[in-house]
Amino acid sequence: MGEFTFFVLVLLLGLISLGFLLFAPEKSPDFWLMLLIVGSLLSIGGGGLLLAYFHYSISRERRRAITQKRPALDLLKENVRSTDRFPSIPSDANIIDSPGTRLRYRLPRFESAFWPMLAASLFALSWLAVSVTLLVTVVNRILDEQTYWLFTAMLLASIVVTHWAIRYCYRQLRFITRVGTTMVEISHHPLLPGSTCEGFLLQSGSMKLRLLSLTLVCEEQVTYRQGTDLRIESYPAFKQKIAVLKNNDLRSDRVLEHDFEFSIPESAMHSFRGEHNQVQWKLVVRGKPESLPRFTRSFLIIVHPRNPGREAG
Amino acid sequence: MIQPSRLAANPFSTCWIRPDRQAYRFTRPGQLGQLVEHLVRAGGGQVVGPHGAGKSTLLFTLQEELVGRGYQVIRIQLHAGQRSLATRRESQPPAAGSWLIIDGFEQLAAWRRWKLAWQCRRSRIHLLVSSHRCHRFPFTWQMSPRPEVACELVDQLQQGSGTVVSSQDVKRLFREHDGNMRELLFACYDLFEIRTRRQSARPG
Amino acid sequence: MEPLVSIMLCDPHRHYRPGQRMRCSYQVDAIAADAIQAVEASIMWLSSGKGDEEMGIHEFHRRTRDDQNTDLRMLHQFDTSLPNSPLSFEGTILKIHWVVRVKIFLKEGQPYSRDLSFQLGSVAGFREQLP
Repeated sequence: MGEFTFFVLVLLLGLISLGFLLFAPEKSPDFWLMLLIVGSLLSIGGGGLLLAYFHYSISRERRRAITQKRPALDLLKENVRSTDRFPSIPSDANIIDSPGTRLRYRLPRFESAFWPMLAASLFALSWLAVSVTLLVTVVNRILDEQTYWLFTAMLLASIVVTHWAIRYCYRQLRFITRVGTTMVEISHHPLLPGSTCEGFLLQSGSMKLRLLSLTLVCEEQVTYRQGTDLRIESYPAFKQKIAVLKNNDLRSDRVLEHDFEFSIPESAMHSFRGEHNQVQWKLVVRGKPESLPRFTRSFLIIVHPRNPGREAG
Repeated sequence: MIQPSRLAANPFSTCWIRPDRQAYRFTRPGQLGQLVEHLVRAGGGQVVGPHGAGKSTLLFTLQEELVGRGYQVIRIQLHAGQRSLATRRESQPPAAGSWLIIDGFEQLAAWRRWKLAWQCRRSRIHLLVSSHRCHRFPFTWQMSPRPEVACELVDQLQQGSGTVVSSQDVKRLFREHDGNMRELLFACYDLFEIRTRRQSARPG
Repeated sequence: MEPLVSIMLCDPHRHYRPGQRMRCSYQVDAIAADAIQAVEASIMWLSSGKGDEEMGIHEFHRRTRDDQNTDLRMLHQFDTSLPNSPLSFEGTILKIHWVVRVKIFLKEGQPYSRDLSFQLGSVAGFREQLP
């Protein structure tokens, strides 16, 4: 609702300015600058309203699917090496080709913070540019002893939006830099049911970590599409806490390192990837820092089925 | 279409509850015939209802009935975000008097909806659509799911496996999911799964 | 009247290991020879549960009626090496079953098919370790 109101106000501001521009051009200094600003307001307000409308008209199932944690299904590409021998098992190319520093393999992370950060930065920078332009124009008018109320109103609105955008961007950046990097390495891959594997966890950052937990998770994930509705559901078929680390102070010169060991249950189902369904194994790191939001980072691992041929060899 | 395997022991698996696997249940006998008569007389119409009301199921049932009455029927399923009809390379364009069924009509852009309706009128093709919102059509069938129908459907699905999900469960789930039949059936899946596992885990 | 399809597997318990050889035989009864146009036999896996169904074909045979195969009803055998994956799985919202499917295509009427399930691998559930 707040989002909707915001975009309506921006659009209204743009329309009022457009009115001034069209019907009282002699009162509009710097016609091209005004046109640029009006165009920006109309695009942002109109575009945002349309997005809000479409979002509203998306089904409840799809909205739920979008807001659910949905792992990137395209993370693992098909690899002739693996799939020939093990049909329907995801490729392990991303893992095999990623060497670790302490152990043999470094696991790639599921979620990426890059695109949200980029989007937030671009948004903040755009509004900063608009605010600066408006400020310069208003100040020039004041110095020329002219008051142009519309510009002043737009400047105030722009300052509010810029302030919010910069704060949001700062919070994101603060979170990323303070929470730092999470790295997980494992000693061998792929894993087999009944096998034990060594692991290494590294957490950097600049924060007081009240709790950091590492869990081995196996999830069944299914996708159901009916008409316009898309439904995605996950079920945690297996969960095992591997490590719980409490009260660690992290600094730029002090990282958290932890060696661990984990086992895949003897009768476990292997990793499976179909077009609509999958069985996913992953190591999940959850952190509860002080005065920062909680974070969760997942690292995919591939479990192969027991192969009689391999055991004999 | 993948043939449902009898190994899908949970009667609420998607292979059993998909819209094309179930006949739509009317509240009164003879309603299907009356509905088709209304549609034929009006030359088209729309089926309107909230998510999970059974619109796709009803369209499949109507399609079968229209085919049974000798009409040529073309069905198009639109998915979320699909703003236009994919170009169809039919060996023969639909004849006058045939039926075009569009499931998910509101996905189309407004001007495409208008264009499609105009083209159908011009070619004398009957247009039957499903939508979450009302559009301008000569006949509208408003869907409002009822708990009694949900109970009947659940009983029918459990015919081969015994009653694990009771009518009380269904009525409770109907309230919880605001009449969304799809979510109700998925919740029945979960209940069935939990209860049968408990039963098989019991000693002796 | 529906044709009668009999499918037999070499292991009476129908439990196989990945990579194991499986001998399958099938025959068709209760139908005239010239009523059958073609017979297909597939070794495949099917998914079921709360997601969209999907399937994977491991092996596929098709026989059509011609001068060499005049009677498709006769007992027919074939061998296959079962794959390493996916294994049969009885999950909560996802299940994977393996079947041998024999499909009869008739001169008139809809095709008729019959499945015989078998177990590939020994994957138990995790139910005892659920959170």
